Amino acid sequence: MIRERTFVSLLLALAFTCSLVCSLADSAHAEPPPRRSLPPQAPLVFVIDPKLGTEAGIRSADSFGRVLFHYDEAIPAFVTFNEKTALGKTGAVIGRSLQFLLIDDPLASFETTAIHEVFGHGSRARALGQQVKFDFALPGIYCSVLTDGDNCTSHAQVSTATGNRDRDLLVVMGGVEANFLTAHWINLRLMRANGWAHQGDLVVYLSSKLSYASSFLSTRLDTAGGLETPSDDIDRSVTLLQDRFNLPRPEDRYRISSRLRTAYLWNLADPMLAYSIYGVLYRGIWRGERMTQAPMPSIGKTTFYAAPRFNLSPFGAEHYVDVFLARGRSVVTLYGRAGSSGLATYTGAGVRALGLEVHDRLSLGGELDVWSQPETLLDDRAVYERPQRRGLNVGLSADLRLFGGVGITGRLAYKTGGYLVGQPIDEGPYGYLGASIALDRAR
Amino acid sequence: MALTEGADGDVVIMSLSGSAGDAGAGDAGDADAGDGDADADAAAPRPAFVAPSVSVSVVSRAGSLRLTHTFAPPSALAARRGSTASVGATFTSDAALFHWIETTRTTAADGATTTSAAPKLARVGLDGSESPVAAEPALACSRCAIKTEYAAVGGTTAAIIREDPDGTAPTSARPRTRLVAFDASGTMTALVDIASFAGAGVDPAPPSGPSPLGAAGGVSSDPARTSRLYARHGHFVVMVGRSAAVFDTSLALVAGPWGLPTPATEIDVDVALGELDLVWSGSLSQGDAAAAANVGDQPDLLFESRRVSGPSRVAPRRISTSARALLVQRNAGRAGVLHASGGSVYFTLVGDDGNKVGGDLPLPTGAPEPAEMLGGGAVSAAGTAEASGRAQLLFSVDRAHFVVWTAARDVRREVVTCDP
Repeated sequence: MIRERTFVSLLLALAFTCSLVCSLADSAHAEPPPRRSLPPQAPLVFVIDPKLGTEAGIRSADSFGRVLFHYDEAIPAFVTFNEKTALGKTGAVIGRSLQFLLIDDPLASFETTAIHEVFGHGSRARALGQQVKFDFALPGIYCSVLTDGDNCTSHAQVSTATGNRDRDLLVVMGGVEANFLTAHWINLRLMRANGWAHQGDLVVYLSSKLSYASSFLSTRLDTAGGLETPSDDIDRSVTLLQDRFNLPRPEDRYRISSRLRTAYLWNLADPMLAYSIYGVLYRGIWRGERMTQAPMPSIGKTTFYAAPRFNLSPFGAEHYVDVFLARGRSVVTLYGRAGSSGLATYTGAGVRALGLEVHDRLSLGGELDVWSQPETLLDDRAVYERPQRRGLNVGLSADLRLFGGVGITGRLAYKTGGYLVGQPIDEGPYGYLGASIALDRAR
Repeated sequence: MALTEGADGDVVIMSLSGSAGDAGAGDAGDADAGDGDADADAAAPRPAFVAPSVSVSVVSRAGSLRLTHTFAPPSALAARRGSTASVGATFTSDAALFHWIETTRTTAADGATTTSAAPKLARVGLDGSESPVAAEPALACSRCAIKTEYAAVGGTTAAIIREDPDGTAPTSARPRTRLVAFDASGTMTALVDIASFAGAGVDPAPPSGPSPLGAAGGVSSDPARTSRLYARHGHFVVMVGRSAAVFDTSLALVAGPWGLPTPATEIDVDVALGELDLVWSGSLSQGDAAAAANVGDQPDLLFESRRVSGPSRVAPRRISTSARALLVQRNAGRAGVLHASGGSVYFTLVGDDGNKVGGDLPLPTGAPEPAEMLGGGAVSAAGTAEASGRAQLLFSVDRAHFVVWTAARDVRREVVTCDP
């Protein structure tokens, strides 16, 4: 067993080296956009908030991931393939495929998993007063190859059986909620970058959007505990929804899960998801482009883009339509949302602006969200019928550049009680503060 | 300690005190209990039996004390030093009717021992007067053990009396359970074979002392609850296994019998209103164990409302999750339910249409732990009553539900009102 594992490890190391040498050489060969023509890029943002909340965590983890994904720029080219020949093209594609398999995908997998566990389940659990621990499996292919491969699932050790289903639902659904919100933030970033995306952005986008896709789409969801992984979040979520809405019968579960399965198609009907697949497979692996520009409609200097967004809320599936409007570094996004679970009535709308320049060194942002949804009760047991409540979230953000591209950034918001994706559940002020690094301006 | 509902929302608190010794009322019904048999206890002889007195307090719904009195045991009971089991009493407005079981163990020449048992009753008035001991020969048995459960309506006391053959009885001997009525002096006035309504094939488990709903009831000492007897709306409600029925004070069958989902079902029946409410811990997902086991962290708490004669008025529906249903009582069209879950006791209100109103209201700290409630109001005559803290009572006046329970030496009350 040890010999076999050592042999596999050696093969893996060899493949890793080969992929690094070949792909980096190939990347060097591929034509990057001329530096002077690089579009504005969204700044790197490293922020924290007192409660280690979801949004601050996502933005920081996303920025950290972006830095890591530029690993190839730090390594010189070793080999140049002539991709005009069949042999050269084959070698380059193999190299880039290995690069994807051995580096890009594990990096994206780790980032997505960290966001899922630490800033999804973890943030919700911490906000509800739980102590949280994490178990991380090796990312991507490394878990399958270097461990026994029986369980490559990472875990947040949280309680999802507190007896209060609102709490349990928030914690269980927090993982995919954070992943879906990550995809939304990548969309926002790409809008600020006029559609320019690094391969890492596209891989993380794919990984975030397709988190638990097999569970959402599985007919095994129709039976409680039907999905093989005992801690499957989606399986557990449907079970908790059954309990929360007092629908315990098998036929109730089938109705909830089949509706959720259908609703999940909304998540897949996403132009950016399609572009990410195209961008990774064709532009990245086949053509060797590390930076690609997604096509964005525009009128004059204003770029616009509309996309569906999906979320799993404590009331069931939630459908958004996002409209992005961007000009220069400024972006405004509007959304409307509605639920389709049939368990409750939950709707909302909002607007958010980022990077509105009021001075060469100062840009501001703002946000407004409104919603109507069943009352959230975190301290009551087995309350099935709830009054409908309206809620409001308002906030301001600012980014002050101090020297070069480095500055401070922050957000201060206030919301009433109720569910808003990625934000605290309680009523009160919240926000985060940290550093921002404007990459394009730093140059 | 036992809590029962008196007239006009009064709470009757009864407790046995001063008992000790080998009578082992807490082991009442055990064929070996109380006989001081040398073979079992030669190494550690138990102290002599001391008959308990019965303390009764009547508290109005406003919390004022209407009556407090301690009934000394009747002289016949006080004179006993052993072989006495199932000691208890019921309370009527002016007297306590003490009951106990006298056992006799006989050792034959070949060394085989047999046990005979006979229930006895004696009335003690508020003025201290005593009636002669009543011993109905038809209720005595040989080669057997007896367990009893008593309740009272007005001047009538009823009992479930079960005979279990001892080890020397012929193998053909079967347990026998009867429902018996006594008048105020303890004279038997009616007798009904439980099998007549519970079904000939039913082998009901021993009775256990009054249900916490016991409305004019008594105190007793048997711990199990599979056969139950309590008073409600001027009638006796009898639950045996999966059957329940209502009898009047002459033990005429008034309503039922009804089949129950589980032996642990709690019911509230109002014959005059013609309605029967049931609550039990189980699963709506029968036949789908996986689904049932995963929806809640505990079993479903289910509620059903039936016509006394006729079909269900409200089909079984889930009102919470809970390990154990404790009580149900209808009031002004809404049913109050007590149930225990995860170490806490909750009150749940169900509307007339069967829909749950609000959430589960936890009883304040100090409410009895579920494990302590298993006795359902029964107390031990062996001196543990003061520490048991396990009796509880749910009753209602106007649109308020009163939850009363004992905790250690306290009696506590929580009033639940819901608007509208």
